[in-house]
Amino acid sequence: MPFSLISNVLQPVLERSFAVGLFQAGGGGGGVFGPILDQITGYARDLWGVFVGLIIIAATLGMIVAVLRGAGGMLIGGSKETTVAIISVVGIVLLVVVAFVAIPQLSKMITDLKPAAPF
Amino acid sequence: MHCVGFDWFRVAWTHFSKGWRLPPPAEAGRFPPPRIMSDALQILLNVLRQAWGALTIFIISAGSLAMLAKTLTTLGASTIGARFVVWESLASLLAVIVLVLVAFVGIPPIVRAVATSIPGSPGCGPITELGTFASGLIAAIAGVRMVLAVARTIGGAAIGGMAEVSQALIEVVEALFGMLLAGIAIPLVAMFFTGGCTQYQLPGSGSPFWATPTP
Repeated sequence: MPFSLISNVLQPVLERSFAVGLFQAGGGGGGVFGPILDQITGYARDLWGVFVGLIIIAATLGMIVAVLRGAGGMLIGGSKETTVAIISVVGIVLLVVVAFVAIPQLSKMITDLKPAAPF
Repeated sequence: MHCVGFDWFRVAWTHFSKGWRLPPPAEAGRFPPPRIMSDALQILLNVLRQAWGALTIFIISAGSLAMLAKTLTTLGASTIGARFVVWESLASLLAVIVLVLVAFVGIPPIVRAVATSIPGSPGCGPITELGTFASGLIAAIAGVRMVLAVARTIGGAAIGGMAEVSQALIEVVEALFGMLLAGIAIPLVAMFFTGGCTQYQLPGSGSPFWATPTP
């Protein structure tokens, strides 16, 4: 059940993060540095995908570890252990939300702040 | 003996030209002197503007990836219960955001102030044009180098390296010194050795106070 929950929750968030992501809009455009910039943007796009995949894996593993710890705490009657495990799950979910919702929005904000050459 | 004159030519010209006249001689104001240095400066500034744009896009990419990498570090550290690593990663995340804001909000006014801080170059002639050219070029290169320093800092912060924001401020001082030399000091020295710039004055344009014609 946690696995289906994770995939059901993360999949739309992941798609949304890619939809509003920074690198969706394309490369750097023309100019002298256009080809180099296109290469750099391509690598950045690939790296973004790698990081998103790693975050999903780390979040999944972290939640499994937390659920296991909470279940073990419940088995031996350790209420504190169970509480810590529940807080860990909530923290991991918060971090995933930060990664997939807040960071793309921050990137969009930074892109809007991009200054023109002041000379 | 009556020689054959050119009256026939005048009559023919009057008949066929239908009153056409040759254009008046060109006025001096219609053809301003070519400003080669200004055009060359604009070409170089365009290249530097494109470099500025490329560096800002690189900063956006590196900053976004750095934020994502720091989130991944935070996630991994919280998974294994490493409390200090979590705090360190969150601090690095905030540092990246602050660095990007410094690059996009703080640096352009500094570069603008540096570019407009040097007054008009004294004197006249090619030395002055060269001074203006060098002054503008130095300001533009300093701006690009400042953005490059911040980009390097963000790249370093993304992989846990040292921050080098102070390098950007050093660039400002170097640029100001170079612009003072190229825009004011060198034209003044050239005027001292050439004895003024009256030979470059257009008639009726007046002489600056420092270029008193020598008898």
